[in-house]
Amino acid sequence: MAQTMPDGATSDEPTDHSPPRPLLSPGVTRPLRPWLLLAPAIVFVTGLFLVPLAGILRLSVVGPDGFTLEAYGAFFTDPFYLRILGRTLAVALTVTVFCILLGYPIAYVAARYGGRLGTALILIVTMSFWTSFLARTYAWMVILGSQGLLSTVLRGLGWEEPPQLLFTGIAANIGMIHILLPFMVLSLFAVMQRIDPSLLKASAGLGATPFQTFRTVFLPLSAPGIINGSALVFIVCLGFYVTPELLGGPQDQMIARLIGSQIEQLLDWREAATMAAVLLAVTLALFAVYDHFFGLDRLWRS
Amino acid sequence: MHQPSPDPFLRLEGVSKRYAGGALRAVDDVSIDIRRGEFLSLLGPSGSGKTTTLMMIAGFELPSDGRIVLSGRDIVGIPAHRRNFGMVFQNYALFPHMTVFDNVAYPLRLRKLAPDAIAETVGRYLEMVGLTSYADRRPNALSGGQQQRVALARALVFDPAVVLMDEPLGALDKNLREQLQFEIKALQRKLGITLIYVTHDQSEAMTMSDRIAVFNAGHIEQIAAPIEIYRRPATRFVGEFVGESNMFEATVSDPQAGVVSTAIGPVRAAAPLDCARDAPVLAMIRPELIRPADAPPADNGTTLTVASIVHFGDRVAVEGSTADGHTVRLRLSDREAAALAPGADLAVSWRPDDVHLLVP
Ligand SMILES: Nc1ncnc2c1ncn2[C@@H]1O[C@H](COP(=O)(O)OP(=O)(O)OP(=O)(O)O)[C@@H](O)[C@H]1O
Ligand SMILES: [Mg+2]
Repeated sequence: MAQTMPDGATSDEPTDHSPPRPLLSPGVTRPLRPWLLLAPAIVFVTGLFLVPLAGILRLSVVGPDGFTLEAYGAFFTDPFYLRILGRTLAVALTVTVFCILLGYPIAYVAARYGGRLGTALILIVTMSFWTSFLARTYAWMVILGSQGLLSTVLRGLGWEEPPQLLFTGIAANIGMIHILLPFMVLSLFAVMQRIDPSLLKASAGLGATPFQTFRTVFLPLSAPGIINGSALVFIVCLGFYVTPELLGGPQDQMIARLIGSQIEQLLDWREAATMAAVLLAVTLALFAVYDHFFGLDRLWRS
Repeated sequence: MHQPSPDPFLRLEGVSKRYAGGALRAVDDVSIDIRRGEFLSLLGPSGSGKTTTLMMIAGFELPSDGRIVLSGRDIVGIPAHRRNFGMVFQNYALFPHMTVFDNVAYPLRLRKLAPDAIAETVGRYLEMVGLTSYADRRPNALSGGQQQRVALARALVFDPAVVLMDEPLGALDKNLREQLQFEIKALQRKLGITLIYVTHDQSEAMTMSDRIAVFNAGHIEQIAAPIEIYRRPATRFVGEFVGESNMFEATVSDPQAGVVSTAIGPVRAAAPLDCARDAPVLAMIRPELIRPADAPPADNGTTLTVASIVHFGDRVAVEGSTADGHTVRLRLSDREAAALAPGADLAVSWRPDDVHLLVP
């Protein structure tokens, strides 16, 4: 996994791996084996994921008179729905950008300065996985409320009318960033940790200032971590429901919330399924873009 | 071809590095004068402080004590990226996200050379290391030897004041290693490079270096030309670390005649000794200088009982023991060893010239 392949270095010939020991009786033919190993996962994914997914897609195109794209027509012609889809994407983008800006320095320090400090940082970051994210969301309500911690502190500092943060888009974003930051930090850390420190020494030795070394060596080599972390954060963020609901105001609805209210309040399963399908399509499209542009990083990652 | 000039170019003065709050002396009061164009090897066992010394010269570690002087200027406070030293690492440390060309061009781009000057210079150096047709490859599409050649080109391309190499061939197999030893030596001569080369492989140090500094436990035991190190080691450690040796504890019995007495009998050196009677010394004789004799002479010889015979193809290692159980090692040719069998008696002798006496 090291970029410089020190282990591949001693010989020009590929190493000769002896065939793996048979896992099953010799009667089982070779090509079958991986499928057998995957069988439980296939059953699980099919039963709990693909079947319901097909159900949702079916739901979205079946009306009282059979097949219809009515619900899709309704979605794409309703400016309200489109605005919420647009807002969902914009919020996911904002949250992703802030997660990068906050997460990169944390992961950088943890990976570069290792030792106790690094371990402590990663521990603190992962510790937030131990508390349920509902609890964390409520904690933000306590902090950001009009009589909350933040307002009290600001008033103590002499700010008479501190702005109301709770039930605004800012509060919703803060909550989501807080919940998603660990994913970003861990994605970045995993990649940064594998960057060979001697590359940074080599760069300095060749005349690069610390900043030049960062820009031309460390940053490009950590890019896969940024990309993986961003994909993760962005896509999870698209489906956020509780946090924006509790911390944001009515104007900060995201699409998942809209799907919920379609079902709960309007009992419009078809429109809800349509929105879910659109969200899925957007997600898949993003994955496709990601794969198209960043599948490239495999060129230098082993 | 450049000749090393006698003026000290890079100078280490009492350089030390302590770790663990001073408890561990990784490098202990090391002083070296390195001449311009010289090939100096730092040779020593694992943990003896070679890498630490090199890292202090490179600017990656700060000495706890001492000065490092380049052309009369103390460079201890100068960070690595402003020292203009080329560095080659054991694991090559090529940038995996750059092509071979971009790797070699890297130091030139940092120095803001014009693109066509960069292309020309990189091309020249890639040709020197025989990798012209690999310019567009990524490092992970190269073999270990090719990667190290790229690292070599990258360390030389910006005409550094000094080139530092830390066991650059340690990860390569024997044949490739010998080939690259030859190439590095040829490049160093041709370009007149001042090169400091860390290795724990003594034959590598012997064949490539102008001088060798032998490290032991953080300090330098001896700095001298390879043949001097081999023939006249300054300490017991050097004699035993470099090459094979027979080392006998001795006391001076006749300083004028150069005779010392050892467990295998009196040993006579070629020159009178500059020390008192009964002073303790060490007598060293290299195995290949002990020759079979018709009968053991009064001094500088003995009779051995052959204990073991090991054939190496080009030579035969014979171990014999004296009547009172002291081991003596010899190197014989295949023909000389033909008649020998374990248990046989073997009379041996050596010349006074071949006895090296040192202070223990
Ligand atoms: N950062 C450090 N902290 C503490 N001790 C260190 C550190 N770096 C090196 N040492 C110690 O300093 C001593 C010299 O290490 P150094 O790496 O210079 O040895 P070396 O001669 O290069 O050995 P090798 O041939 O194994 O590479 C060793 O005992 C090592 O454990
Ligand atoms: Mg070392």
